[in-house]
Amino acid sequence: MNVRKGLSAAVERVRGAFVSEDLIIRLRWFLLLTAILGIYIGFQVGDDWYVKEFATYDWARGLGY
Amino acid sequence: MVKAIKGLDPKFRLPAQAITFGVHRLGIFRKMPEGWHAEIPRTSAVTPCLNCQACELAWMACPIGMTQRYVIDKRFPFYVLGFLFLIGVTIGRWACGWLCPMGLVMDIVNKGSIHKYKPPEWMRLIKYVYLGGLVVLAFFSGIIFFCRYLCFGAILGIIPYWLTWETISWTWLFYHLGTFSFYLTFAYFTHGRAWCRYFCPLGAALSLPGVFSMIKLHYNWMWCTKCGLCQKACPMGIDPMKASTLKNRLECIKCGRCVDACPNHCLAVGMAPLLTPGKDEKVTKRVPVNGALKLPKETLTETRINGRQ
Repeated sequence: MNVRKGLSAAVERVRGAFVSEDLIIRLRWFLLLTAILGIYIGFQVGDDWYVKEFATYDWARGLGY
Repeated sequence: MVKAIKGLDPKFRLPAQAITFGVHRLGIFRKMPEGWHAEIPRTSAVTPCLNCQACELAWMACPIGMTQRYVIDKRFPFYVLGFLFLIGVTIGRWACGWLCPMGLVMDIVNKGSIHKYKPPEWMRLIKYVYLGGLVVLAFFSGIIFFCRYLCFGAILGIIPYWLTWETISWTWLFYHLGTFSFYLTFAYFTHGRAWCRYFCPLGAALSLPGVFSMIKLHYNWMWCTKCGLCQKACPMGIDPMKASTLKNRLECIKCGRCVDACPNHCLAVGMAPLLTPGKDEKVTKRVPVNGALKLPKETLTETRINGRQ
């Protein structure tokens, strides 16, 4: 019981913590660049734009519809 | 002086959700008068909303379905993750509040919801369990587990499929209607947006990069009378007066209900922060810095003096 209370309190402390705006702004640009890089790799390397299963109706039939 | 980019007026939210729902179904143009044009391909364009790609009318895929597909194919989902990060860092869960068709359904349920029971806070973690679980289950089972068993494919998948393809599995129809009814019933007895609060894996996926979202809720404590109306209005059950906490950054869908509810215009959804003086800064006069802060000074003073609304 005490462990559960302690865990709940710890989670609430973390969730209630104020996040520094400076840290957010710095990491935001890093994440934005990562996102663009991910999309670029998806297009250029993985050829993710066109997926055969999505372009046909096999996907829906695979779901049992 | 800080100039904030004012968020959209919340009165445009329901029309925006309805339009998005329609836009997702633009695949109906494949259903030409002379027959079904299956040769017109669907793209695997990703949408930041829950959208069943199994629907005949869909032309965009939900990141959750695509992720499972990539996991089953043993491919790393660069494209989907990149898209989720891009959406998360730019608009974050604004997409949940303004674009998602399931959000529209939940908002409609919210109007009749009796708000009788308050689920415990830990239930918010269920959506992260769903998110992790759907990847693991897809990897080991080889099926799109979440879409097949836990989501609301009946509304966005099976029924349009029935209307267009004219064949249907009744078992799956009733199963999905049952699942959908469960979520609706839960929302009816607890809160509107119960799906978004507790269950939505896409909301969980957007909330993590959404901590760094450019669009966020801003709170100006200078004019706040702590009346609590914003808390009551929030469909996600968070405290808008703690706008910079991790919990708010994770959970806020930027729907703008608290902005509407605040009588002192202390809240705004936008990109730049409202002017809030630091602890050492001497406040000489109240300056409306944001388009949202158009309040006659007399009204403000009266409210502050009386200390009530």
